[in-house]
Amino acid sequence: MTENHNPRRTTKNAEKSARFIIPIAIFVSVLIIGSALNFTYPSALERDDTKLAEPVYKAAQTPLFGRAVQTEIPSQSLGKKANPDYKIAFPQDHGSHNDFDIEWWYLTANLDGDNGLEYDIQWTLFRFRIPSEEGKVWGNEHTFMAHASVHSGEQHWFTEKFARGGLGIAGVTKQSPFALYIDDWLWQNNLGQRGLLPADLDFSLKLIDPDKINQNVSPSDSSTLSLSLQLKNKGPYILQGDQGYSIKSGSASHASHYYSAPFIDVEGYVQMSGIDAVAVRVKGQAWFDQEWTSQLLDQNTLGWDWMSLHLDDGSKIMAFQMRLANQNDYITGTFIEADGSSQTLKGSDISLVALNNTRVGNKTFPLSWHLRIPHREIDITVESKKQDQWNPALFPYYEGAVNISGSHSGEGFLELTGY
Amino acid sequence: MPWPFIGVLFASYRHSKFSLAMLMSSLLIAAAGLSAVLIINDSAKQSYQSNEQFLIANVQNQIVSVDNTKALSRADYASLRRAGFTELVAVAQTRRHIYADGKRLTRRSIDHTGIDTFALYSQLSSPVALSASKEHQLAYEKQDENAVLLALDFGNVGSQNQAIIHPTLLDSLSAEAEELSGPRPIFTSADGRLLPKLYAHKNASLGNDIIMSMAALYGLYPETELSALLLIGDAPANRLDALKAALPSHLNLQSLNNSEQDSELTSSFHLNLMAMALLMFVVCLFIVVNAINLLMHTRMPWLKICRQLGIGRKQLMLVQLAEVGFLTLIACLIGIVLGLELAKLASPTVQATLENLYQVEVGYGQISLITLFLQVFGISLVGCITASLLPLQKLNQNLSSTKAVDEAKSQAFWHKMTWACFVVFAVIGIILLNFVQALWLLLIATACVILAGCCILLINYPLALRQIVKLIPKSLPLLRVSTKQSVSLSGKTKIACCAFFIAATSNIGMNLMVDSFRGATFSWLEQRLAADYYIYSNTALELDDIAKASDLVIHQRFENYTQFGKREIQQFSYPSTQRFQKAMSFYELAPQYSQENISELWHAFENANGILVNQQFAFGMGYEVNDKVSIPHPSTGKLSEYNILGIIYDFGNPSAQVLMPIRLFDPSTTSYFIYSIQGSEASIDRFTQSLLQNDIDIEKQIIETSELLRLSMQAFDDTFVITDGLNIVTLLVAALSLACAIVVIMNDVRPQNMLIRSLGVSAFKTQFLALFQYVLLCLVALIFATPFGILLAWVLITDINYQAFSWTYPLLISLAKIAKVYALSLCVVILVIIVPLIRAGKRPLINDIRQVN
Repeated sequence: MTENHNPRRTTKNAEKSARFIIPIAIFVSVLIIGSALNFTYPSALERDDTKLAEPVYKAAQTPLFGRAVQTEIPSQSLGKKANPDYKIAFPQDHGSHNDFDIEWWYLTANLDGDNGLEYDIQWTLFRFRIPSEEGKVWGNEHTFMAHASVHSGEQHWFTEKFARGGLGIAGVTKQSPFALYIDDWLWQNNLGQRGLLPADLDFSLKLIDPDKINQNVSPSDSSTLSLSLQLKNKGPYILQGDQGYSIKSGSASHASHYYSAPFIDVEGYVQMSGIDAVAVRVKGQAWFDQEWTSQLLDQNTLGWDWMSLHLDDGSKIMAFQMRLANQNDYITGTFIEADGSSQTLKGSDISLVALNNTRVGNKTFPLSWHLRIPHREIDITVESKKQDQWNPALFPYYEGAVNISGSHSGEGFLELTGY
Repeated sequence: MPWPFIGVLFASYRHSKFSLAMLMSSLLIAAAGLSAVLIINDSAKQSYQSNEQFLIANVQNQIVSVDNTKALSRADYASLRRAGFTELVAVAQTRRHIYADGKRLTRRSIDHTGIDTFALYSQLSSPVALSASKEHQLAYEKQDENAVLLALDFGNVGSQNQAIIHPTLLDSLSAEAEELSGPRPIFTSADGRLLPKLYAHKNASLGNDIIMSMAALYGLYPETELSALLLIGDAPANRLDALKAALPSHLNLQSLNNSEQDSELTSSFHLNLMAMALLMFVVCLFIVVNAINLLMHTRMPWLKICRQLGIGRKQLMLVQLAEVGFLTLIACLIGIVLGLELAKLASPTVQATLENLYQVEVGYGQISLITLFLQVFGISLVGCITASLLPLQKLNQNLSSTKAVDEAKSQAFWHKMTWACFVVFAVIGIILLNFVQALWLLLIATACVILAGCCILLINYPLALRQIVKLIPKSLPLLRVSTKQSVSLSGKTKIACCAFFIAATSNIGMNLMVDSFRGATFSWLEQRLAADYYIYSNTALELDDIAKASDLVIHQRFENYTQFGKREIQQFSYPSTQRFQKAMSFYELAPQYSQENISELWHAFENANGILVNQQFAFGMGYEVNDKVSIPHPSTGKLSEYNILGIIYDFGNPSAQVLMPIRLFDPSTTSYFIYSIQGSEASIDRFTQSLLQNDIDIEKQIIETSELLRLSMQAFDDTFVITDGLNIVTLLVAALSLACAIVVIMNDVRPQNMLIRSLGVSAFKTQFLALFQYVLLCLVALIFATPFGILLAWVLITDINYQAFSWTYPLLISLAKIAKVYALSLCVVILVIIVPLIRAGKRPLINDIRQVN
């Protein structure tokens, strides 16, 4: 230091500088800290298009599921339409109708266990045709989805499965024996024939337990329920609607091919996994539906309420109601005598009225119904066996067992969508 | 209150720009370097400790094919799923380049991974009862990662496919594409197929890869094969046993255990990187010492006035210490931002290095900035305060009027202390190098070697300089004076010279190691690549007849993988023709063989009496020549006993490898993929023409040996880019440190300079002589650094490489390389100190005279 500095002047200057520098230093530090905290390594692209497309399960247009799929499959992919002149023939029509976009094989059963408990069962295989170039290389253009649900007392077991067709993981066999399969779930004709029935049905599913997530469906997991059932057909197949051509909308523009097997006797075992696992012998009756179409619901359809009922006198009823926007509801059904003869019910033949609405979680459902078929002297109340029979699937819907009281008694299944 | 003094401090900044700049730049370099390395290490480790495979959480096992003979098929997958093993999810991977507008964007091919998202959803779906959920909350909404994966398939009904990519990779691809083909580029495969729409998703396990649905991958690359079936979730032992029992013979259940294996494998890499960063950090601290010294020196008149005004010494010290802390804070904040950028720049190279060297997948990682800041600031603060203690203590002495320390006594004490330090460092170094195998202890040993060298330099510096003085003829009085001055200078620039010595030693050591490695790799490759051309193919090619017709000699090479001990080893075929015999590069021969009777070794090899193993096999599993090993026969799988005839060099290969004669391999069970071809260029042309006529298009797969060599060496050089960069930075930092010290000294030698200039010597000459002094100091430091650098290279090659990679190679002392380090170091020093020298040279003589007065 060679210059002669005046200490007083220096101090004054220094004070000035300090006043000036300190806020700058603080500002710079805050700026750096702020930018550093916002900075994550490596810098993310803050672009709008970097978010993955919303999965379809969140899309508002797909609330209707179960037996009433409302899809968004692009128009150019539309498959074959249901034909009123088509004559359903067995066993070939038990198989897959690959030209149609949507198809399902749907079984519901009300079983009694020798432990005194009731077991109400649903097992469904869905097929969707989604044509795409990519899909043809890995598998084929068909996607399979399966749902299995068991209610017993307060417990609910539920599992869903997905698989692409053409890989050997899921499908419907073309050769004998007839089989529906996805992973280790298997419906197979037990006589080695091409017919749907008699068949063995084996599947396992997991307990819905809020304390457990990502449960494996494996024999080692105590929450897994395995079922091994034998299905025997004790009556004829019933062609729904007009010889299997079933209209699904008020305007009659949407329809499907639809037949049922309502006279199935079921026997088998239900077994919980785990150390103290005991096989429970079960017995009861089941209802089977197969339906295929390319366009099931009209865009005006708000929802649908469907039921299949086994009356104690051996007769059966299928009834459904389409809830339509700005139109009267479309109600139809089928009455099936114990001997297998059936009658399609027009709107004027049947009355279906929801008796009350019940709040389950954050949803409200009509879980009690008044059904009348005056010319058959049927006046019954259909009431769900328990409130929460919601299938919490990727595409969720209500599917649960019901009790019947009134002029007749019995049990069956109720499906509610669009709530 | 310390405020008046703080004001003075700020005011003094105007007059100490240079020292402040030095202090800040060294702190910045230290913080930036340290944070870059911490980020690189942390993000790499995160990616393989994340226990995730392609974003799927909790994957601990996978099913893969046993070898290349029979691949994992869709039928295998379907039969296992139908047998009830529904926790298996198929993945397929293929490594491809990405194009836009027909132009290739990627330098390094990118892993395209397809996942069977349908199977994944079936497994991950965890329904919640409606009555139990307060809101309409679905299972997949709870798990972000799963939702991201599931949206790949369930989100794109009727729309373009989607794929997930790390934002950094997408950034770089977009930037590259925009440069080549303008804004909004469309990414395609080589044959022009549209890539799925890329969505950025930040996840530590994502690296150089793109994740998509299986359908999307097969849509792009229909010929891809399944890579593995991932086993999701915690599988109990009985479930694993059941799965093993259900597996067909060509499939194998593997435990992934990624975190342990990978971090163990790559720990040496991370340790090396960390060691380099700490070295740089330490050298930076040397500058900090010098810069603070310089700062104190500049401030001395002010500080004395402050003392006269009654400000206590303690307060002066504390405020200045706080000032150092504040400057460190600012430097760390900016340094971290720089470090992040540096890490971003370096991460592709680091990823490529790790992936090539260790075959591990490396993601980008997500860094907690608060943790990073705390780490960097903590280390820097401790370092800076430690570094400030010495200059502040000196200042304290200067400010107190008493001179309590006897200079001569103190010098004698420090001389003894230096000797003691040398002995301690040398003993620790020798013990560690001879008796220790842990890599971190070996790195400490390396540090001991360098520090012992430092002590030797400090002890011998004045002696060496005095000897130089004697060498200068009396006819050059100015040079003699200047040299003598450098003796006293050496006493004042000890710390800076030590920093320079450390930088120079590590530079020489690293350079010699890399050079030896490069030389060894090159000669090994040159020798091993005995054929003229090579064909690399994934499929078997029927080339023999065509090759014969084209006048070519063709050798097929067979590859097989087998279990030995608990490790997987490679079995390779090796032709024993004369040309290939010459091509073999041995590290060690069994004692009964020498170069004279090498044909006997080949005879034994040909008769399958013995095998050759690579260094990785021998060092990694503790075998020596003439040991007997029982390994499965390459085609029958039967255990047979073989004698180890020799150990061969096999650089860059992380696997243990055994070479066996061709006839032991059965072409039907082994996959061939390399063909070596001997013949002229004309024959090769004829050969490719004939192949084309036979509908075999392998033109792109034929590689000329010189091209292969060039590519290999290019890959080699790329691996050491970071090492080179750190070396130069270290050297620069050391030179800066020296420059700081020199600026302080320049003030001290003003009287002498004034005297010389008064005698009529020009300012230019004076400054030139000053430059000579400093260069002389550096030169002596370099001379001392040379043997220690060579010693360091030897330690790195024989100990560090041996332990880290299971290979070693001969040390190659290249004088040219050492001369290059000398030249580079001196250039850097001259460049750095030339600025203060020129400034001093421009100062009028009267200033110096005034100061003396």
